Amino acid sequence: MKSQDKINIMVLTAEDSLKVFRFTQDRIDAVLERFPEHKDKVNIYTVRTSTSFENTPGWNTNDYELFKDGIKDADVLIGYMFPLEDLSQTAPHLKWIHIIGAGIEHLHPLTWVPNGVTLTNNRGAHGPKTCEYAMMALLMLANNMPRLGTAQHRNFWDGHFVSVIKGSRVAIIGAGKQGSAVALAAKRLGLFTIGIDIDVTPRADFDEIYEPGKLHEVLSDSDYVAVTLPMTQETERSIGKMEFAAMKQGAGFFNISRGKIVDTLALIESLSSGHISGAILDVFDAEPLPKDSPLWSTPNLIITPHMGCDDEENYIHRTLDIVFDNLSKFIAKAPMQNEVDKHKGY
Amino acid sequence: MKKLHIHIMNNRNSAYVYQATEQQVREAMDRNEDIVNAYELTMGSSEYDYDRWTQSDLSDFLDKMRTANVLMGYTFPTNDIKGYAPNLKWIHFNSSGIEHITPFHWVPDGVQLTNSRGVHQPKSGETFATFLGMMNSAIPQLYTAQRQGKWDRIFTTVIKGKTLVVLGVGCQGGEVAKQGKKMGMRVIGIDPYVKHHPNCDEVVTIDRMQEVFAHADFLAISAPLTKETYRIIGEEQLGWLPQTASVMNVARGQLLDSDALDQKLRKGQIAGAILDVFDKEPLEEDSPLWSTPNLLLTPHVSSDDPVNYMPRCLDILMRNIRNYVNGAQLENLVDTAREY
Repeated sequence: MKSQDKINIMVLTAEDSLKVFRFTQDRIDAVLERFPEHKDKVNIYTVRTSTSFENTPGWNTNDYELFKDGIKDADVLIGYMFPLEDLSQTAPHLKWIHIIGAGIEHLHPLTWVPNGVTLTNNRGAHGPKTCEYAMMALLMLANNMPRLGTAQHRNFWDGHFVSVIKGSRVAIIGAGKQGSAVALAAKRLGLFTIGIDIDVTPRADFDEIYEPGKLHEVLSDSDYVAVTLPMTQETERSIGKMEFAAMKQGAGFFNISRGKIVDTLALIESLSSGHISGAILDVFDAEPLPKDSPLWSTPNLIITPHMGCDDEENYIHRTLDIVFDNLSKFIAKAPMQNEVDKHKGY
Repeated sequence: MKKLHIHIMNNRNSAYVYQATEQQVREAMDRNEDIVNAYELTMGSSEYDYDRWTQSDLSDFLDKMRTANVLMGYTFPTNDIKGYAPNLKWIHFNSSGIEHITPFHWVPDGVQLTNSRGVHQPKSGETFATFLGMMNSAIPQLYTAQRQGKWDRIFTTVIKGKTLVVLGVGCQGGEVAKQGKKMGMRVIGIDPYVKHHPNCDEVVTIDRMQEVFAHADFLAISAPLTKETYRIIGEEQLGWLPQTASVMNVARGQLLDSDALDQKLRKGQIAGAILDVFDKEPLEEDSPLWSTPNLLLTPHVSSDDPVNYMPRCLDILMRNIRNYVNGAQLENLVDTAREY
């Protein structure tokens, strides 16, 4: 598979991967057509293991062989999860790893990344779908859909009227790529958007942006709260009892980033007591959500099974666009887009 | 010129959103200050159903109607209007659908009817965008899975480029079409009278329903209820939709055969549906629809905005007073032959 004069790009994928995440030859051919200037500079080959490495019980001997055989020639690896130890030995030419996920906490801590290897993630690949999902989530909360779902479950005609969402306020916790997609959705609906981020530099679609110290103050004055943080040691369980208590009576809540950022029990308590009016969750502590999770029957909650931001038709196309957009910079040894800060972990 | 006598009748047991408060009336008068000397206004209230009106409901109503030139209301006695309201010029309904009082044989010569179509925006637009987004994200299917405690990972793609068919492109359908266009969809209207619509890529006549249904990702039912449209969507018509299509009804329950929809959903021949309207409202507690798979129900709340609904109804009334005084045609006239 190795080509002497081209950039060797190994795509690590699995036979059983879902359509949304599958690297088919069609999708690879399509990106080469979209970037004709790179077409002759790259040698892309696909290594297809029986299942994804993160799945239990994981790989068989043959899968390890396929991986070892592929990675030894690779300059670039596109994948999600793989054996992390001894990469400098098994992958002597490796210079760049692109992770097919925006959140990469499954690879923490990043001490395994060999010196001289750059890590990039997939932030931004989800943009248009995230924006649509966020628009829907905001509108569903405004229309009390979680409450009406619970009423339907009880054969209860819960007739009550609500006014328009336009002019309401949304707090967006985490103002990165995902938070920005939510902000764009909110602006399109005529909301006032307040971001919370460690970086308070003004940015598009945020009317205001504050540092995390102001979180409670912002929560107390917001009709909607969106969680769009990366999962790190600092953000884990950062939305808990105190934060729900700080939210406005009747607020609507949604989380589309990572389940572990939110204290699930605190959320359940806030919903059950009627303090917040409704919630939509796309992410959970454990996925698939276990059969016996109390969330299944929590009132005024709508569950979507981690599908909100992943576009079945376009996700891989957009992933490959990020990689190919970065290729010129990679060749020029210039800083690339979506580089992961190994200390911050995202 | 003699002042017009306007009489506003509230149904005191309707939801508060449908009742004009004195403050709302005062504010509407202030917003239309230029005509404030053209009329005198009285207000009354009654039970919702005429057969439950009290003696004083009736005597107060008849007393006001002796001199009234304009009646704004929803239910009232329809026999001998000429006799009890000899000076009546027009009746303004504080609703869009007025099928509750059809056929219109009772309307005396020289009395015009106006309805409140159009007052539901912008609330209705937001709700229609909600329902379109939910159908595209398979929320009816996912909510069914949630009720069963099932992690059913359905992935979807963006709504942009998908096809929305809107049955009836009047005020409500036009608003559905507008939301569809905003989301980047291809929008096909079906309407017997409208030939072109700014928010439809194409408007076809009813005889082409089968042809356009075959390409629909979403069907929105937004027609008025008349003798022609009663059960216009039944088993046969639902069968013309692809298995992947979803359906929403935001107009009137009787437009759709909900038993046929229930069957199609149970057999997986239609992907999902959202219903805001029903044959009987409130929906009976033992209706099978509560637990039809891949169906979400909302209790007729898509369009009525507690903040904006009544003020917008009153504004139509005020604009029509101005039109009348100026000798212009009234807006929102009802075609009594078409029944809407």
